[in-house]
Amino acid sequence: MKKFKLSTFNIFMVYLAFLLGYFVYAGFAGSRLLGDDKEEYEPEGVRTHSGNSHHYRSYHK
Amino acid sequence: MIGAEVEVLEKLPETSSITCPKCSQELPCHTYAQARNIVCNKCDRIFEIREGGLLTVKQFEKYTLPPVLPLGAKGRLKGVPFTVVGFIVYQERDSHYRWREYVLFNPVQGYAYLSEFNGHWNFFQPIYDYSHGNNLHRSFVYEGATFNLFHRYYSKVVYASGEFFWNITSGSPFCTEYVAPPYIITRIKTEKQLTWLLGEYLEPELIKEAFGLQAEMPQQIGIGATEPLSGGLSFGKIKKISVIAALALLFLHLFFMIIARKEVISNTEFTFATAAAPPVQPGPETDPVTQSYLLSVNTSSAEQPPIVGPAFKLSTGLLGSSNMLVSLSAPVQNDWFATAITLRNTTTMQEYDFELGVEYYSGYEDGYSWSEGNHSTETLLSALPDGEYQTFIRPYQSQQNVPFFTLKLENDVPVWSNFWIILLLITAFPAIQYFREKNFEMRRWMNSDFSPYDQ
Repeated sequence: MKKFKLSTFNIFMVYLAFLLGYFVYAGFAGSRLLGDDKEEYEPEGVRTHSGNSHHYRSYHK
Repeated sequence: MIGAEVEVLEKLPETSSITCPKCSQELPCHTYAQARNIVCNKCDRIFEIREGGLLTVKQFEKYTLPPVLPLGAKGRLKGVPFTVVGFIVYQERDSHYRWREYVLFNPVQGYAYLSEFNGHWNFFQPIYDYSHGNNLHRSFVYEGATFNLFHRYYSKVVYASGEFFWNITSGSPFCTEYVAPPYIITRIKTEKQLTWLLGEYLEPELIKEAFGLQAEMPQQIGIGATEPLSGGLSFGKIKKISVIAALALLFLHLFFMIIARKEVISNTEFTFATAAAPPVQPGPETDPVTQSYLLSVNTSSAEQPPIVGPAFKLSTGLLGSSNMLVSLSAPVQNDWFATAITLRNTTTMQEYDFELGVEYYSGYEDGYSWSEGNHSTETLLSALPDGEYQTFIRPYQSQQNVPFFTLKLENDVPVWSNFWIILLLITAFPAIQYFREKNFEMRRWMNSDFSPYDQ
């Protein structure tokens, strides 16, 4: 059996496979890679946030 | 001994010996009748081998650095067993640059050479299927590779030991080097003949292993003329693979665009009551998708309870989740309008909160009309778990002069940002490799008088 060697080429191919695989997963799961600005509340009241950042906007001129 | 023994059994002939006529040192001789010069490694005299005996040609000055590959060392390179039969230190006639060459011998395959300069090694073998004669070419193609002129110089021998099949002290050969890393072709022109050698870069560790050397190999300095970029992955190759990956990504994205349902699950207009149209109890009307709500003007206040908006069910995601595009539009004019929205999963009671807001301002100043902002906005909710949901809406505004707003919920839409991010990450690798390779090549060609980067 041929041994897998960690060459730059193999790293690159694994990298591409990961990217395309993650794209397919995100496509089927309806995920947005950048996340979103929604906040999640668990039934017990625990708050989690799915986005990278969140800010309460003020629409005052 | 016959050739088959050398090739099949990998035997090399026994070594004969010649006695140095000056110091009586026994000199091993591997190449027998082919040897024309032999150098005594004790008294450093070079002799010409003649029928009548050895004729002294000259005596070298003592060379203090021992050869990395000792004379008589045996090793296999490119599948061929070789014996080291000669060691020569060359110097450019018109400069101080020196390099070392090891003459390798195999009774069937003939001669090959290992050249070492600044710790970089090349394995040379003669070629007979190419020549452009005495003409100076800046580049040429051989075996599909483009070789570019790298260096020209006259060489001279400053030290040698071992045996040689040519007269190593005659004249100063004119050498011209063409490189196509990891290959090099060297044209060696003497008064009597023209020789072409094809070389290939070898890692020092490979030579150390092939000859079973124990000592450390010479430290590498700078970038070798034929040294390949580490990792063995050229920009050209990486570019081809990346283009294929980008095309695969495009097809995948088209696939997701085709299967995306883009289902409008709610398109609701919320109207604030006026004197002409008094407020009624908010609630859904007959059409489950296109609904209307009539709200009290006081609804737009933080103290009021949220409006119970449309309910919907998500059961579409292959992996148990799907995205949702939420769009808000309101006819704001020099004003802003915003709403907080809660999606409550009535099965798990998990809640998702987010805000949407629009603002639009315009005017006329100093002879110019201007505007900024938008009447509509949207946000994409990522990976909402399947289930039944109830929306709660809490609008707020500053002057109570926005008559209505519209909220649209669209399930399972294609996400373009995913496509662009993955495409960016695919192209990042070749982009980095391009700059690495360019920088590497510029450093390589700094050692050449014919650098394409000087133009």
